[in-house]
Amino acid sequence: MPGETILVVDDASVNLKLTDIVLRKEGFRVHAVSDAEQALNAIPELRPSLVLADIQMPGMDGLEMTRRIKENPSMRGIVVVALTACAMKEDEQRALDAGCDGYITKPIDTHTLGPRLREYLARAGA
Amino acid sequence: MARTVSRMVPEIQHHVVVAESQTLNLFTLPESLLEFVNSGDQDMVTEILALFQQDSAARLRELNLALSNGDREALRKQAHTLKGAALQVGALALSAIFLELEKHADDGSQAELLDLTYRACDCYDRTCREMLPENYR
Repeated sequence: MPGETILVVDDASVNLKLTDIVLRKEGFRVHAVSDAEQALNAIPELRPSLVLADIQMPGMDGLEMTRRIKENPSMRGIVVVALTACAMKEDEQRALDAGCDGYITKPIDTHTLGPRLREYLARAGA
Repeated sequence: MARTVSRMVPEIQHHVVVAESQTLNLFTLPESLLEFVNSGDQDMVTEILALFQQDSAARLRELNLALSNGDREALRKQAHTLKGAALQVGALALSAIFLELEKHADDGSQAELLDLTYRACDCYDRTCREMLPENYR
């Protein structure tokens, strides 16, 4: 499963950098973008196994991006995992309702991020 | 940063805000980043902290602009992102102030939000001064 491509979408450059470092150390190929439009444009060529996306972003948010991925027959097999703020429990249900395969709460735990994503990929049979 | 905002802030009763943030540490490197330091990747942590400072300074300017323009939704979104980034790097007091800003973005008075913004800028300045390599190596 290491070697799978992960697309990380987050407008906070600190989170983007940290997830990039951690997931590369875990052996994933990582592509990082700062908004949902860039992510949707990158997916056809990149063909990621998993998209890790912040829920609250300026412009198109992570929920709308997830809906578009899951509505598109050529993209809906991609595992989408939401990054949600830990204080916002309602975000977790909204993420699942939008079609996310799971969620991870922030702040990002560098110990568990890789294993959690591997779990989601395994569950999806990716 | 704080001086810039203080020029915008009229006489305000400081009754509003954030007792919690005054009891939190300005900067405590979280375990997840400390692990990088302990494994010899100090430069990576230094890079992440520098990125935080740079990005937060730009976002604080955007937050100030949103406040000046009365754009409460833009203010809330910037506060949300700043809160998360501050928490990620262990800037706990700063994160607590941004949480207050996010919570009160819709219903807070302009004076309250100016007060919180001033406190955020001041706390940001003090936090950045704590983010020195000798404090986490």
